Amino acid sequence: MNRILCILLILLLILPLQGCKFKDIDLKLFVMAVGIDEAENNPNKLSVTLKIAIPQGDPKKAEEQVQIITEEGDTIAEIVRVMKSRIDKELDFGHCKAVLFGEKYARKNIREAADWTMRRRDIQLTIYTAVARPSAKEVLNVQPVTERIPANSILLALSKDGTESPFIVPPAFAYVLQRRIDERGADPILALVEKKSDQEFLINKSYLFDKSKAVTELEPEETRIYNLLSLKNLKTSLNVDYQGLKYAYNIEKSSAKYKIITPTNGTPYIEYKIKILAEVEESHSGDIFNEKLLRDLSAAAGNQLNERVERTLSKIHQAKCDPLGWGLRYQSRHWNNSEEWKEWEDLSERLEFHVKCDVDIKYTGMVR
Amino acid sequence: MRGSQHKKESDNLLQCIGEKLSKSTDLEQRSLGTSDQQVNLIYLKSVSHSATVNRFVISPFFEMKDEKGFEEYIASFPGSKPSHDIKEILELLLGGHVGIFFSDNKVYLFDAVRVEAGSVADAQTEVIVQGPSDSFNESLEVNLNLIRRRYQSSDLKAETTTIGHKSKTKIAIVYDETRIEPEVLKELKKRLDGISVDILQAAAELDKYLSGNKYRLFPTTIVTERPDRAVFNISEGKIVLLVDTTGFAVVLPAVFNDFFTAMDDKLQVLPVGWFLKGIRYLGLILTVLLPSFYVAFTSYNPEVWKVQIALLVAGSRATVPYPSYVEVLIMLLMMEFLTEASLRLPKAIGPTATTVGGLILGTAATEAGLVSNIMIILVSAVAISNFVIPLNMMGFTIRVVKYPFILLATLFGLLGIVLGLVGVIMYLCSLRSFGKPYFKIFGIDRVRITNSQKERENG
Amino acid sequence: MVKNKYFYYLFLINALINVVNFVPRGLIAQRFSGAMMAIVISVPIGLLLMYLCIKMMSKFPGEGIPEIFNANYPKPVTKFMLFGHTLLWYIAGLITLIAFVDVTMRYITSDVSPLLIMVGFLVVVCLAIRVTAESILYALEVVIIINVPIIIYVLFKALLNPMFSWDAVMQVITYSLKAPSYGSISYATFIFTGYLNLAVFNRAFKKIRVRHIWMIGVVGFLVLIASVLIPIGYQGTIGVERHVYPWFSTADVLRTKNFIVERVLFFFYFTYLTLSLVSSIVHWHVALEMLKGVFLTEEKKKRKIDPEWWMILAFCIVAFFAMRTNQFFRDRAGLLFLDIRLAAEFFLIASVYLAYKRREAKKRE
Repeated sequence: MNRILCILLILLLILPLQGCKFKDIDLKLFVMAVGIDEAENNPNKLSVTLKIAIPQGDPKKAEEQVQIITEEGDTIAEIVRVMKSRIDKELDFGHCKAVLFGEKYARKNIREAADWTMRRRDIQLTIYTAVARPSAKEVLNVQPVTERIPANSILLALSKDGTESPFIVPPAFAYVLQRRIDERGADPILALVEKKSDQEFLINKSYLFDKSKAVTELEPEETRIYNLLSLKNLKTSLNVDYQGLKYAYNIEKSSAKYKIITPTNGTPYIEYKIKILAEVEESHSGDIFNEKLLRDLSAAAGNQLNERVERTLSKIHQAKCDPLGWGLRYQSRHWNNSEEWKEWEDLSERLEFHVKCDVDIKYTGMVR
Repeated sequence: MRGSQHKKESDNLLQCIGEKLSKSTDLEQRSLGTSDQQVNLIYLKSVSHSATVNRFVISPFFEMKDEKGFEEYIASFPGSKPSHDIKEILELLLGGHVGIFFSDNKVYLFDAVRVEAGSVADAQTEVIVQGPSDSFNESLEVNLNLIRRRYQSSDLKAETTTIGHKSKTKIAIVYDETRIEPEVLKELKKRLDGISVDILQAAAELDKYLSGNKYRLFPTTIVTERPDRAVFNISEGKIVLLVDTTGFAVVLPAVFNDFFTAMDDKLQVLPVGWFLKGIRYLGLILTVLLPSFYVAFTSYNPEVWKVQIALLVAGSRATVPYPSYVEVLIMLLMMEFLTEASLRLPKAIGPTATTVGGLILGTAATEAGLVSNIMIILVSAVAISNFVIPLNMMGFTIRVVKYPFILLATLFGLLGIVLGLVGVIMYLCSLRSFGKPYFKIFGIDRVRITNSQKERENG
Repeated sequence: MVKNKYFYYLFLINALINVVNFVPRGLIAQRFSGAMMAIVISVPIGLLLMYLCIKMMSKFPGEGIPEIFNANYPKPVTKFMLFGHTLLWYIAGLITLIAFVDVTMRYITSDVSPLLIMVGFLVVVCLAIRVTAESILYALEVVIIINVPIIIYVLFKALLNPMFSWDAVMQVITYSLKAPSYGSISYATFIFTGYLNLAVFNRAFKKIRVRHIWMIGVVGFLVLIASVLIPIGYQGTIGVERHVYPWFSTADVLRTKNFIVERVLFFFYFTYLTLSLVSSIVHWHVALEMLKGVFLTEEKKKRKIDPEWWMILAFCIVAFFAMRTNQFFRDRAGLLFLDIRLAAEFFLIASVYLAYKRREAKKRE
């Protein structure tokens, strides 16, 4: 009996220990997205915008409520502390899913912001990063009508869980961003989110980074080609001109492989081999397809795609960025560890691109 | 001269017993016959069968008219026993025998035990869908009969002993000689000898005394009312204790897994059996961990959930005026009250209690904003999954086990739950049921032993 | 007495727990200077030590190191050796616990004070180390059987993720031809150290015999490769260095759509916390038994409080002091422990061999 009393007493003594920091879910505010900008008036200061979800009791009502707050200061951490005195509940970054860098800020340097996202314990490593135009604050203020959970639409778009647009680059999670900033022979590439109106945003471009600095913007077309090169089975359709008429084909399967080839004498080049299995989606000719037409169309599509890919690749190359990780690939295939990086730096200057697109349009769709 | 001396001794005995049993209205003392051929009868009306006495003792006496012949007649009955020891006589009288004192100073105890037991009824606490539905009743003989009929082997042994200074409860140790492990039997007998209680009225009580440690949390013996379970376990090399007057049997040694086996499992097709077993373990995990997970997630780790659920919980908890663990405790206690109430209520009122408690209380509580919607779902899930466990002993244990987990979750969050789990696993593994490990993930060891024994038996 | 299969569990628990015990960190720090080669070399070394240890211990069926030493060595030597082993095993368990307090603080609940977390760990561990070796082995089996499917799930999830950079992995593999340092070999051989727990757990085995020892080699090699290369595939060849706990960062990278719980980190945390606790229980059980071998060699006197409790109290007090160290000191201490450990392993096996020789000599007389 004494033993039981002792145990009960100990339990009673332990209970107050938890009281101090115990915070229930209803006393927390969930930050859904963070936007980081340069301060409007002072380029040395930062401006942070938080998009906060306000939970509602009735799940059947589908109206979302958000609070957006912006604050300026020297460091992100400082700004967040200041914000805490503007709200009634504890900020929780555990559900934060996106960090947007304002375009101006991204062009300067995103290193400290990337570091903050990696270092803070409650921010997940799988947070999405993207560049926002004109600024992160304005993009976060966009309220799409289809949105049911605050900031969810941006997430769904960036993660490709929702829409599968071919113009959105593969998700740049915080850890991918950091890894590419650190890695020798790979550079980050981030999607660009633009504000179109108060209820709509547009994601179809991307930003090439030189390590932590945004350098060049890729146009929608180039972004799509980048996706074709970096992803397997990209879901998109491409146009082809054949004998003056327009056709469009839908990609069923696609794969891109490359090899870095360094001939002993002669310029080094990267050989891209792209294999596409497709079906006709649209035809402006009105003719009934036959085998020959399909074959010719495939060949024409391959040639035209060659050109487009080469144009995109040379643009990327000219920007001196490496979003596809060629440098890493070169190093990983060479065993002379001490010289390989020098070699690569040397030969990447005069790199050429050979692209072989093998488009196979196999089906004509539901009609011939 | 000698005769009269004997006479006197026998009378003394009778008188002595009469005194011991005085102030009992059910004492019956009769003298039969003439003055020189006098036979005295003494018995307790309440435990002896009066019709038997009339028919097999009194009537033959008057038909025979010869005391010698009558004595031989009585001695030839299977249940009759001569005795002179006053203690033994007294015990047997209390047990329902009739004491017959002959004039030549012989005392016979005639078996006329009246057993008041219901007929073999359907199982109440361990209901199954298919398979035999009879259950043990309060009579040891009937119970032994139920087992013997199902296990017709000369290897089946049934030793009896008594426990309880006052209750003198008869206990039969039933086992298959070739299959048990002798150490277990030895251990059991040692422990049975060590039991010193006045009254033993239920098999579950025996289970409590046998296992030694008072503060033990999990049952280490199975208490069952199903003869088929008893027989199955005997064939598995276990020992069954039949307790007279209780209607339940104790099976030992038990392992954790046994408590999650229903007798239907044997009847099912194999994959279905696995599925059912899987469901039970899932139910176990749910009922123990759900409330504590709720506390841990709402209070410490809301980031574990997907956003949608986190917002939903946060929203539904907005009006709740106390921390999550208080909310959980209130609702769980409510549920326990409900279970207890409907358990003890007469069958006619039972459903009313559930309706009032479950439906009206739950809905009203959420409407009033005293508990969150999610909480109601959770509590009902906990309650339902608790009832999945086929054996009640384990079910009751599990009902208790979830509270420490809630405490741990309030103190440590998710970490506390994991700590608790490791603690429980360590605890279960350190338990022994009569020297056998109680919790092992593979019960294969035991099966193999029985297989090799089966081969040996077959020659 | 338990079956020989429990030996595999003793191996597995150490192999799996390496992830928290600084092994990946030590190897990753040397990924460009011989870590890969160390992994390859560690397999034969580990297997050889394991084989020798099993061979030696099978000469003493049902006996632990304390009994063997006490019977075959002079008293001061025995006490000294046993005390040294106590320290090593104690530290092995302590490192796991402290690392996990840290992990919990970083990834799971920063709301609970680290002291309270430690109290929680110590209560579970200290109550558990007093039970019999057999019980611990049974618990070990249960925990491993529950957790291995989760680990396999996490591994598959990790390897099938399109974000996994095989180029980064290949880049590190091209550094395989560098000569390894003693340090990296000792980190890598930690994987195989589980067999050493036989020192006390041999009491539960009838006569230890292990079949398919090559299988242990294969599993150990795969575990090592996975625990070094998977973080590199996710965090990059350079960036991986940034992470304090590379494996927990890696688990945080993974997500699943199929459960209410989205982040694989929590499954991983659950798995590794249970494994760590059990591993600490195993290590401290050995430490406790060794310590008992130092102090309780005489016939047991009836005391009011079991002297075991004083030892456990000492364990706890030291643990609280160890909590005061900082992150970098712990890293160094953890790696230093791994270094010393390998040497101590050789020493232990040699001393058992010597004990065997002495016993044989005594028998001949």
